[in-house]
Parts: sequence; C-alpha cells; structure tokens
Amino acid sequence: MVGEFDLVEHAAVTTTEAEKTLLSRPKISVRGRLATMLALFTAGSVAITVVMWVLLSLIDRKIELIGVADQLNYEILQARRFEKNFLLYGGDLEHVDYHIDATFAAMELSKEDLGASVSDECLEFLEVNLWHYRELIGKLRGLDRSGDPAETTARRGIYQKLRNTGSGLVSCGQKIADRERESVHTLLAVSKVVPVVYLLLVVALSVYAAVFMRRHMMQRLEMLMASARRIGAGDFSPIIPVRKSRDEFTDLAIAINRMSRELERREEFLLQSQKLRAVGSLTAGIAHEVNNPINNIMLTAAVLQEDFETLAGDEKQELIGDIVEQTERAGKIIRNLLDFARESEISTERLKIGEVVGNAINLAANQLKLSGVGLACDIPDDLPEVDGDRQYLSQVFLNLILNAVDAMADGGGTLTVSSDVSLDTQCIAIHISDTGPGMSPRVLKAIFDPFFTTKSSGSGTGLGLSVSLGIVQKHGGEIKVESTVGEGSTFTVLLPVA
Amino acid sequence: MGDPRIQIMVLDDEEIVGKRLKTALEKSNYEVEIFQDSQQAVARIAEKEFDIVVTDVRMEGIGGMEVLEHVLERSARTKVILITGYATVEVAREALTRGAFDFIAKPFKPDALREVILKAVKELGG
Repeated sequence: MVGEFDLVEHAAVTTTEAEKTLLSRPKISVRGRLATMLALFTAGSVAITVVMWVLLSLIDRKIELIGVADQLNYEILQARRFEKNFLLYGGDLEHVDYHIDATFAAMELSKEDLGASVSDECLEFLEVNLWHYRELIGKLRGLDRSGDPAETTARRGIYQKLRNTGSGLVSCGQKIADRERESVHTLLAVSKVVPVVYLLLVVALSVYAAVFMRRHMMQRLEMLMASARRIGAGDFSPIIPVRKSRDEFTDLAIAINRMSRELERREEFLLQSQKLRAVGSLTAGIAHEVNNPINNIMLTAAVLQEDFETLAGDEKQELIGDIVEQTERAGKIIRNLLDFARESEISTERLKIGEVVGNAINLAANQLKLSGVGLACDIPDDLPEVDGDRQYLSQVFLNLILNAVDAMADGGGTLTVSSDVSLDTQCIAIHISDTGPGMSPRVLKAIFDPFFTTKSSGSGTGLGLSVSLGIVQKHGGEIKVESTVGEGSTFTVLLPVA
Repeated sequence: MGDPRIQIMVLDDEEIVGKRLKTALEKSNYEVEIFQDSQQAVARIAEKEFDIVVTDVRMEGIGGMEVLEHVLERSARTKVILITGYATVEVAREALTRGAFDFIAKPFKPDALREVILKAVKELGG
C-alpha cells in the first residue's frame, strides 16, 4: 500500500486518472467534423446550383415576357397611330379595329404569362380600357356614319375620351414592359452577387478547414509524436488532455497511455529480472562468502566445546572473540545482499557518490578476488554530492564493475575506478576502466541495446547496460564508453551535481 | 595413532579454518601443516609428500581442483579431501572423478573432518 501511495505521489497524474479525464470530455469526432464540412460544402454547391438554375430560368422567362409586353405595346401604339391618322386626316378606322383585335389576341395569348408577373390591377386596367377604347371607336364610327353635323360636340367629347384612354393604354403597356425589364435587371444583379457570396463562403470554409487541419490534426500529431519520443526516452507519464472535447485522437492518446503503462510495467520487470540476474551471478559468491564466516564460527565453537575444560582463559576469550567477529562478518554480507535485492521505487536522496561506488565494489569484491582482478580505486571524499537513488545507482556501478571483471576473465587485469568533476556541465564523472580485450566499433555501437550481449548464451541476458543506461538517464545523467581493441574499455557514468 | 605420524596439510584462505583445524587435528595426534596461500601450499607439496591434503575449493589464484592435480601428480597415494563452500552435486561429482578421496561441505564440525580423515587413514594403512 505504501508503495502504491508513493507512486501516486511521484507521478502528478496516474494513467487511469488521465484516461478518465480524457474520456470525460464531450465527444466531437474528427470524422464528424470532416463529414460536417464535406456536407456543408456539398449542400452549398447544390444550393448554388439550384439558385442559379432558378435565377436563369426566371431571367429567361422575363425576357420572353418582355417580348410579349413589347408586342402589346406595339399593337397599342399602332392602334393609336391609326386613331391619330383618323382624327387628323379622317383615315380609315378599320386599321384601328384591326390593331385593337391584335392587342386582344396578344393579351389573350399570354394572359397567363403576364398575370404571373404583372399585378392583376395593371392587366385589369389594360383590359377595361381596351374595351372602353373599342367602344369609343365604335361610337365614333356610328357618329361618323350618321353624318349629323349637330353631333360635333359629342364627337369632340369622344375625341377627348379617346385620347385619354389611348394614352392610358400606352402608359400601361409601357409600364408592364418597363417593369419586366426592371425585374430582369434585378435578377441579373442577384445572379452576379450569388457566385461571389458563394466564393466567399468557400474561401471561409477552406480557411476553416486549413485551420482545423493545422490545429486538430497536425498539432495533435506533433503532440503525439512528442509523446512517443518522450516515452521512447523512458518518461512513462501519461498524456494529459488539453482540449475541451474528445475525438479519435483521444482514443489514440488512451492507446498510447496504455502502451506506456505496459512499457513501464515491462521496464520494471526488466529491472527486476536484471536485479535477479545480478543476484544470481552473485549467489555463488555470496554462498561462499557467507559460508566462510559460518564455517569459522562452527569450527571455533566446536573447538571451544571440545576443549572447554583444558583451555586457558585468554584462549577461550580469543575463540569467543573470533565467533563474535565472524558473526558480524556474516551479518554484514547478508545486509549488503538485502540492500541490493530490496524492492524499491526510485527515491532520490542526497548521496555521496563515493559511498555508492564503494558499496558496489564491496559487493563485487569476491568476484574480483576470484577472477584475480586487481583494483585501483581513487575517489576523493570531497566530491560534490548528487541527488539519486542509492540502490539503483549502486546496481548500475555493480553492473559496470561485474562487466569489467567479466571482460578480464582471463585473469591478471586491473579494474580502475576514478572520478572527476566537470565544472562547466556541473557533472560528476565516474570512470570504470578495465584492461580487457576492448570492443570493436561494431560491438560498441550495440552495447546499450537491450538483449545485446557478448557473453555466451546463458551467462548474460544482455540487459545490464540498457537497464543501467535507463537508470542513469532517469537521474538526468548519461553513460559514455570508450574502448580500444587490445587495451581495454572505459565506461563513464555522468551524474548531475545536486 | 602409531608412528610414523600421519602427515596432513590443511589449505584454506580463511585463517581461522587453519588455526582451528590445526588444534583439532593435532589433538587427534596427526602432524598438521597449515597454509593460507595456495601458491605456497603447492610449493610445499613439491617438497614434501603428505598423506592427506585437506583443501578449500574456491580460492584466489590456484583453486582447490588445481591443487588436487598437483598433489596427485606428486604422489598418487595421497588422499585429497576437498572443502566446498557450496556443495552441489556437480562439484562433488567432478571432485570424485578427478581423483579426490572425498569432500566435505562448509560449515562442518572438526569431528566430521576427523571421520573422513579416519576413513582415509584406514585406506592408507590397508
């Protein structure tokens, strides 16, 4: 439970919390947005097509109507021309009748069409006046036929009425034609504006689409790529939502969060198995190491038991002293082993790096002795301190030391552990050098890869260096390596000064 | 035990082992020489023929198995008893096939070693 609590303390947001937050937002999917945009675009195109079709049809009809109105006007004007001829020169009224009939015919012919576009008043007015006009012409002809000079006054009145009705007819016909022309102009003006408006809408939609692509797709992809890089570098903290809504990228983010959780779990597992490997390789040494003091205690106690009566007091004291000393020795070995194998989260504290390295050297002391490897360790006490996890860093140094010892398995080499401080980078460097066979550039390139090993199958997992590098990088440090074939290798652990 | 006394070499890099075994074995009337350094022990083997050699297996430099070979090269009748820190079947089997007389696993009591030595003496005497 304590461990779990620690975990929550370490990471600001746990993966499951992040997932909950990611999912709790309203869902607006990218597919939905794209579909909406496409639908808008299609609907706009359909609408503009329909509108333009309707407009052009209207214009076409209006032009037809203008023709009809012109025909009407022409007939009316013709009628009036003959009317005037009659009044001025006493011509034939038959022509007037003829054109009145033609006007009626034209009006009847396109009455529906005109009715559709011109107000009924206008048409009614035209029809009534036309009837009136014809009546007047009829009267005039009647008067003319009677030939009575006493009717001149009545003739004058008819003339007057005829003129008024005639001009009314003309202006009405003109009005109808003008109105039709005007509406054609209006429709044409609208036709000019509609595509411009549509163009503006398309531009706006395109700009929105571009901004959407940039903000919702490219930025998110970049963000996810950055997360992938971050996870690759070993930072397994989950992706935290930044937007108000969720979409397909949210699903991807959740999948990535799950992946990084899985990776973290696996890395922990690797760390653990790496630890087990180191413990395993140490077990033989430890068994020997622990057995020695126990054997010493056993022998000493047995001698004390056997010869208790005959031994002098100071001899007894010596034997008992040996037992105490050897028990302490065994206890210390066990403590070191427990320190090393103890399960723990990375928890940083102020460390004297010399102590950590010293601890690792102590753990490896038996291996060094058995392999006949000499040790030259020079780490001054006054090195600056670092912030780090004692167990994990000690594991790193132990791993590097054991690797160095393995590299000098033929015996007779020297392990050199030294340090220096770089003031400009604020780093402590711990160098672990062996006098082994060195590594070829090909091997050098691959040594930090997981599962890469130069050791025979079964004796190494190939995880030591990759796990060590991971640990050091988590401390903000780096592991560097230099190697010369035939002369040996130097691994340098760089850790930032606290 | 009659004369000449049985000559025993005890080789172990732990000082206390030598000290205690010397006391314990001398009490049983054996002549005991103790060594901590296998190099010196091997040199001594070249000079003197021991009846019984008790040696640790895991030591710095020359290991117990190598000492065993040196001893058997020098004198085939010498009985070699190995002390193993971790008595696994493989180590035991290897020791026996290489000609060791017996092995004894740490931690052990002086009496346990005395028993093995007694067996060896019987075989030597027989």
